[in-house]
Amino acid sequence: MKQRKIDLPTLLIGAMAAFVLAFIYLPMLVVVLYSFNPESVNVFPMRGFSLRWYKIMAENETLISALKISLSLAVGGTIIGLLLGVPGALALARYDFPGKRILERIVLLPLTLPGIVTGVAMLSFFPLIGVPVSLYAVLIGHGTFLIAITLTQVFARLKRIDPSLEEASADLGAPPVTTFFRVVLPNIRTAIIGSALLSFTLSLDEIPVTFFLIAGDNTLPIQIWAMMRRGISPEVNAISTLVFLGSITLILLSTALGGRDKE
Amino acid sequence: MAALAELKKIVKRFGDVEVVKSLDLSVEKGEFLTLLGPSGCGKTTTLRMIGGFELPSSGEIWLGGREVSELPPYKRDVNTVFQSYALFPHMTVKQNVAYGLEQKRLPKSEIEKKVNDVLATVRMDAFANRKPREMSGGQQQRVAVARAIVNSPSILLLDEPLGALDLKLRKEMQFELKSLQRKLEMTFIYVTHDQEEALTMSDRIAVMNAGRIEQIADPVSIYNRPKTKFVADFIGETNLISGVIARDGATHRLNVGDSRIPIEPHDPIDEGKNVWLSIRPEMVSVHKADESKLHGDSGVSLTGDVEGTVFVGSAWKTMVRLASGARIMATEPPSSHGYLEPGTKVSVTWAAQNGVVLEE
Repeated sequence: MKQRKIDLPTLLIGAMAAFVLAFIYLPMLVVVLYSFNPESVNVFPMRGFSLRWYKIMAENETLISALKISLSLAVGGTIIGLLLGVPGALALARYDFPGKRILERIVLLPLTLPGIVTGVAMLSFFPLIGVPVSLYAVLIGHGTFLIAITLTQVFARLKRIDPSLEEASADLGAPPVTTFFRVVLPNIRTAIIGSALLSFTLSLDEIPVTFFLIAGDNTLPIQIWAMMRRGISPEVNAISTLVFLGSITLILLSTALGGRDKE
Repeated sequence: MAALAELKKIVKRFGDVEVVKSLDLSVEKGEFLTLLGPSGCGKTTTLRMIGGFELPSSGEIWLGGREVSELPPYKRDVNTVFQSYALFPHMTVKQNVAYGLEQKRLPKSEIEKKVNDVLATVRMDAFANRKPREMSGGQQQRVAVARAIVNSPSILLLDEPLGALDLKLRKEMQFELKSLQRKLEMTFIYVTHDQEEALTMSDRIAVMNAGRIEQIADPVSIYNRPKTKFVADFIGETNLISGVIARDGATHRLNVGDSRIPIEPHDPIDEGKNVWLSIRPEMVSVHKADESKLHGDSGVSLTGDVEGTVFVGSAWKTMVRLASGARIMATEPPSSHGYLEPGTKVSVTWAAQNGVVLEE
């Protein structure tokens, strides 16, 4: 077997990669470590290992209810994003209609606008159409930018699919609905799953839009933020670790599904 | 007998551009018809209108005695072999081929049998469980043909199906497609820009230019009796000489500068008319000036200087500049005169009936 040569450029690139990864993940690692801290003050080195804060977290009903609200919002928002984003992407990629060029340009707006602007705008607008500040308002608020996520991801995929595939399906006698389910959907499946996972995580940690539209019940990020104002509570470390693990699982899941597509 | 397919005064506009201009075409059952022309001549658009992928701006399309002008592709009894093959990438060869039969809701056992039969016909039975990306271009092409013909369409539409293959494979596939068409007695409408491919495969060729059909006829007539200058120039190689018609009693000639070229026009033609004379290089002979002979009474014999000679293996190609300034290319067998020095005085001859007179 050939000896792998380690020269200076390889070494530099390796060091660079290690630095970038450390830059991103070291803070997270600290949070994970502290979540097992037996004491209530974050000090290093830790004296022992304990699941005490997880227990306290699990008994904190406000925190748990905030987590439930966040998860429901993320699921609901993702569904709204898929239901409107996928047909929107199909329309943009495959049909001509008046105003298509303008729509193509402004569809990204909810993503690029600062959340605080969207939040203020919706706060002024929703009461006008009779939607009070509530979790429903938050759901619609999340939906607006999650539609943009799904639409752009699925649109990009559709652009890479040969349009003659759909023509071939029609040519072989399949009406449009059959063509969608048997030819289009299998080819955009991973883009849909990917955008759903991305939507889910984005909704889960959204603050600005939520902050303006929420009434009584807090979402998880807002609840954590509220708790932090009274000092760093170790149970925040515990819930953050759980959310982190959840996100990692989702990401691994999406990569695994994406890989299966390339068989 | 009524035609199997008929296009009546078909016009197709994209925005302000008229791509197909009042086109009439009728296709007989069992024939191999080729739409031939340069890119942008409207041949693919015409095919796509028959398939239902484009709707005509005006005019009517009839298939099997039924007007289908506005029908979507899935309600037409035609199938298409696409230039990109358009095989479904997420399905195996077998699933691809079965797709059309499944839409017709045939029983599973019948689908299975038909799929196996058609894969055997195109010699792809060993690849039934492959995915499209696991096959070469030629193999994908066969599967694309199988997927279309398994549905026994009344017409098979082929849009430059061999365009992506290399030359050798393309020639093989030409013969294969042609014999498949004979065996199945299926009607083929074939689009290509390759005139040799059209001549090889077709029963009839429709030569298209700028949205119109310039001439529609069998390959031999298209080659030997082109109707327009465009057709003569587009199909094969030809010499085009511009001149004015003159008459001596019953015989015609073409005045080119000071030269008089005997011609035998097929259709009556007026004296004084500006026309083109088309003469194929393989009809032309070159003789050294001292050994020149006339081609009988109707022969053409013109003098000129050799500009160059090249040997291409199967032939000598000689370019001669005539006294009138026109240039004539001659293609002669290897056993003919051999190499001719540039500047050699020669006479070029051909039989007058081989020249074709073309109006502008």
